[in-house]
Amino acid sequence: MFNFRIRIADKIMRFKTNSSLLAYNASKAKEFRHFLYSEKKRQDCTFDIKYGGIPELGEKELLFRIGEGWSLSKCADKILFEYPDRNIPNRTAMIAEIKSDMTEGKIYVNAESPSQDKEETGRPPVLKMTGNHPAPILAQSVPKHRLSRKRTPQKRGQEVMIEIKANFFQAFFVEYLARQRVGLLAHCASVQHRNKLYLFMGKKETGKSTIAHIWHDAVGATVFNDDRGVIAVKNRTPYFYNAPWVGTLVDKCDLHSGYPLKIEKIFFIYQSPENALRKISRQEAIPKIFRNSFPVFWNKNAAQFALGICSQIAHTTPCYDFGFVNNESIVTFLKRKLDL
Amino acid sequence: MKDFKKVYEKSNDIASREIDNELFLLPIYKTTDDISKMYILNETAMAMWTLMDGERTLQEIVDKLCTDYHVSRKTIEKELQELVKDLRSINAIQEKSSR
Repeated sequence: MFNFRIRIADKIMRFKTNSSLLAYNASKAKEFRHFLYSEKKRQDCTFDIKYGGIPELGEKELLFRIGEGWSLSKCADKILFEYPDRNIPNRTAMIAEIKSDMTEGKIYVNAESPSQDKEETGRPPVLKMTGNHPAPILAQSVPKHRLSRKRTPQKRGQEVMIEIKANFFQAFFVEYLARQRVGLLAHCASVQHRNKLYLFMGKKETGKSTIAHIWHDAVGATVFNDDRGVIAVKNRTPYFYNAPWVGTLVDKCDLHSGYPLKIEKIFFIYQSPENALRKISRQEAIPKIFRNSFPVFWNKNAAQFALGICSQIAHTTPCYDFGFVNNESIVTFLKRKLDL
Repeated sequence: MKDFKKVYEKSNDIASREIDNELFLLPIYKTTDDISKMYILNETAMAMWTLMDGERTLQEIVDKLCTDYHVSRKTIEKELQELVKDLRSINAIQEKSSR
């Protein structure tokens, strides 16, 4: 059995799997590698990844469905995340069955295990990590000779990891954040300049990565993430936690998972023929923060929690509408307007 | 008017939060096709919303608001009718029964 733990927003999720390739793929993905957590004693929830088909899970009550994509159902005292197979109609690719207190669950994958290293090599895989990460980040990893070999199961293992990362994990995490009253996952680029953190919020293709890139190259600002992050409130102070879902600037992002950063200002971005800045009221900011986050629309308590987070952040953080042009002038414009 | 004998109650499928004398309403959705907007009620509309408790008729709500606010009965009746129409359109309230 292989283990890896992922820490986001100071919550630690432990994954158990019989596939060393799956564990290896988790470590290989750059954006995830920095969120792997080496302390073995702590976990807030545990998932057991099981291959070989999906069992009958009883009668379900649909809670939410994303178009033709994943759905969330209630089944007795558990919740189910269900993912269709994108290649085969009417086939379920994966189901995650989670206890309603979100402390543990099973992920059933409708495929054979992506590797059987132990049986094939006659010995368990050996820990071998490269790169400059200071701590061993996996309990075990795959043998070195596996790293360059191409074989069919590896492709399947990568596919499964991508599915878990892109679909299950993010959907689960949004639900988890709300149920545990931690915060909200948000669409935002996070840029730190002179030790102050600014969030540039906007949905897909509004220019988050563009703005982060300009700040990074023009003044050497630290970009923590150009696409996503967790926004939270502690002791009436708004905080940002990094998340492993990154946009196009993965090589320029300073990914980390260890500490929260106080949010100094929030900019709601839109492309404009000239740079324009307008401070907005709290009442204006609340729906904008909400629209740029991933609230749990299907759960009343969670939706109320989301409204509360948006309200508290809008109350404590200066918020602006920011129309921007795609060049370095945005940096001098904001520095001049707001003395950043 | 017949409509003012009706009684409305709040739907269970709506989240709400009062912020600075305004009420933010968020319908609960089951599919992404439904997801549209967050709704904000001003102070007067919030007072009307609060009084829609599944017990009072709309007429009783008008009477109560007439005593609490310096606004004409006609204006309150018109605003309440519009609010009921808007809230029903997003399934925030439902008719309970007529008395």
